[in-house]
Amino acid sequence: MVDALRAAHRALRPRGVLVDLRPDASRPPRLVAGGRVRGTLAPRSGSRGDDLAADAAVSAVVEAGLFRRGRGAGHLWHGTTFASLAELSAYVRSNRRWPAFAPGARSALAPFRDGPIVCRRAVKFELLDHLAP
Amino acid sequence: MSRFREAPEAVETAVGRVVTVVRHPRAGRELAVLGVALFRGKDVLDIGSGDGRLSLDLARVARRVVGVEPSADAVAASARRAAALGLRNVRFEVGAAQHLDLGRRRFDVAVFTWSL
Repeated sequence: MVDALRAAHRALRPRGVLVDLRPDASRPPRLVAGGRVRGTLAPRSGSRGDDLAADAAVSAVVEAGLFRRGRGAGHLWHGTTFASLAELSAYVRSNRRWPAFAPGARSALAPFRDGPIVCRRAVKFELLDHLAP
Repeated sequence: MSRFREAPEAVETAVGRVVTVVRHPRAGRELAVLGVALFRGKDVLDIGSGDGRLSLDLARVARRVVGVEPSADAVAASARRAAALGLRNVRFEVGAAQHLDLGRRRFDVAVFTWSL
């Protein structure tokens, strides 16, 4: 991860901006049907660790003087709409970060098996200023 | 004809499973939150461009967008979408985030799109 951040630093012009966008492991994806949140997805064990490792990589390049924090950070929500519960289930089974429904979520979605079902995922972002070496 | 607002699209997931998505996330969310001014008239590098969703929207405001993505299939699909949309200021290249081969090209903004 640090190697990727260093490569991005080399690709940026002086005073350029790096934008880090990635799934927020601390906020499970919300499953919305019929206008309400019916449940969430469960994380793969280790996904929180991946997120912390990415955080540590960003901190490392900031401490190394390649980038400066302070331009902005936060999170936003992405909605992906699935045609049915079966399609959402197929997606969940193939998802590397969120490979299962949280307890009770699938049964809560059963009345909405014919869709549409929206999977709302939290994405966190941070903007970093490029610093010349 | 879909009974939903948009036509469903069969998409391949990261592990090769095909699912039907009715509506994809709108890249406009990123633009709204980060601010269009950050990208307007700029040279932008999209690292981990995936299906090209963000690159294609950024190309509407940026001067030039280069999307880098390790999957050759995703790069080809993104390039086809750009051509279909008539976007001439965006290109897609196969590459990995830690081994960017950009020659002498430099950018005003680099975006890690779910790739860190």
